[in-house]
Amino acid sequence: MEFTLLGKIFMGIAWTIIIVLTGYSFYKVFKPQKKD
Amino acid sequence: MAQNGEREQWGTKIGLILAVAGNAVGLGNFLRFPVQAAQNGGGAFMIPYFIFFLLLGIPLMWIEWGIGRYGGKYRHGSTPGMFDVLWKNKLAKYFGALGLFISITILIYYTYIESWTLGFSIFSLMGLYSNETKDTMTSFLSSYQGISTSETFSSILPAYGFMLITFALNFAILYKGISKGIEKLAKIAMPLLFLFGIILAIRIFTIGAPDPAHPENSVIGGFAFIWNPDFSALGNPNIWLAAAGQIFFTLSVGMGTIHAYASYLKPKDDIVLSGLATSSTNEFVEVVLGGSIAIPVAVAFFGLDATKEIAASGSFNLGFVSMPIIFGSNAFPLGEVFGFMWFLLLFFAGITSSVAMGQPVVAFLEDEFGMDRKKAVFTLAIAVLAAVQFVVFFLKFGFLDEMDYWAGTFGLVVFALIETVLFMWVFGADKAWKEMNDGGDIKIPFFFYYVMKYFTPVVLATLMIWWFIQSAIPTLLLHNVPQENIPYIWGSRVLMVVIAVVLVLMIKKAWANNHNNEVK
Repeated sequence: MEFTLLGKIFMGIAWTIIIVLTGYSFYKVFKPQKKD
Repeated sequence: MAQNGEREQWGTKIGLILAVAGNAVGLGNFLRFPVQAAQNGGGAFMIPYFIFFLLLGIPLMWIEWGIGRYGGKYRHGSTPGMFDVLWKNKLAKYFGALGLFISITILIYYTYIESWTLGFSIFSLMGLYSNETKDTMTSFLSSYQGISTSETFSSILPAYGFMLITFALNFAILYKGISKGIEKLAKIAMPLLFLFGIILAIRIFTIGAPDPAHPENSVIGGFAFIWNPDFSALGNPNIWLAAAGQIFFTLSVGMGTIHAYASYLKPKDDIVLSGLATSSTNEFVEVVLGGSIAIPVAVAFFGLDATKEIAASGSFNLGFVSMPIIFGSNAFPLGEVFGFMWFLLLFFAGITSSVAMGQPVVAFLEDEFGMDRKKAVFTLAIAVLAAVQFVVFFLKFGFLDEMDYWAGTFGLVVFALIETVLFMWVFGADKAWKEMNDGGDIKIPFFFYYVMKYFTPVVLATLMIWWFIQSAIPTLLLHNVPQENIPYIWGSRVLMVVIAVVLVLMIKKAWANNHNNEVK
């Protein structure tokens, strides 16, 4: 079964969304927070 | 409720996030997701999957964190007490019984399955399976489960031993408490789970096509099987429901476990960022790691058609039959070590979930009956060990499957619908919104206010009605159940009714006691 270009694009987009979201949330978790 | 002493608290924010992520990450991340994706439109499945992640999964996470932290302010670590403070009605606490019923019922059978992963990890190191075929490995698994006998296992004793060890570990962690037990476990098990997952994914990615005679059977073919989009599938409502179901199950919402964990937060602790971090961690494990291990390697070793058959036959066959065949094959160097990592990874995924399932009942006994933790854990252990005997010895008669359907599938959706309506409509959307955002390190975008109030309950009601028509009625009426299994299925139902009745009576007694104490 050939891994089509569209398949690679879908996998790439899905991975990117998840990695960015996970990275963003953990960046915010470890970043010192300023609260009022 | 217990008024003596301070309630426990989480030691660190990262510990809490890893513990809740550990609760969400389970066997399904590695076994259920890739099968669901491959069977429901491949890459196109990810369109409804992400839509429901955004509009169902994350909102439910925030709702459960919100209810949990709110209940914790009133010293309630389980849903009967939480619902009671959300809705000033005598019935509220009984709706909350569902959060105890679901978590304890799933705990009973889930921990038994979890013990198989521990057993198989040891068998991998011992080289107990090698050069197996589908038939011999199926026989290996069924003889381990005590369903048949084989040269390797002549009785259920090894499975029983691993079951006892697994339960002992779970109860020991629960006994140690929130910070010293559950949090410590998460801080050790979750990084190891990531490490093993990444090592396995890289190893599998580098396998290529193991049989030169069949270059079409390759890991890349496996990724193609999961990811090549079939857009025609998007017109099928079943695909959308499958995506909603996968998001729902993978995040372990609708069980009462997240509420229990969140109840140990301080009133001004953040829940918005923590909810987002746990959800995205779960997705990383599911989509990036889970999608890169079992199905790709199965296509490389068995070919596409055989993998389709394996996928259709269920997640257990993929995890406990196909994967050991691959790790035991000569074409997989150091298969014993990688097999050990695979099953230990599943064990870590399992135990971080099962301790979460034990916590609501422990919190209920502590908060509503004033028990100390030792007595609460001991009480839970006695109850669960008594009930699991039926699961172990009646496995082949569908006892476990029946519990899994009503508590682990249908019950979750019912409970999630109840809690969403209770929080967003009875307690009030404005108050709920303020409660969730209070102390948040980030603010929830206001668009989610409408999502939580309208979209989430409508999707949950649709799922519930759909499954009721599609599967609950045939399951209830015992369609397609072999004649010899029927008494055991009824036995499973009786056990669940007994658990539910005992919980309702305990809630009644706890509230009667607390009310009397308040009067005095």
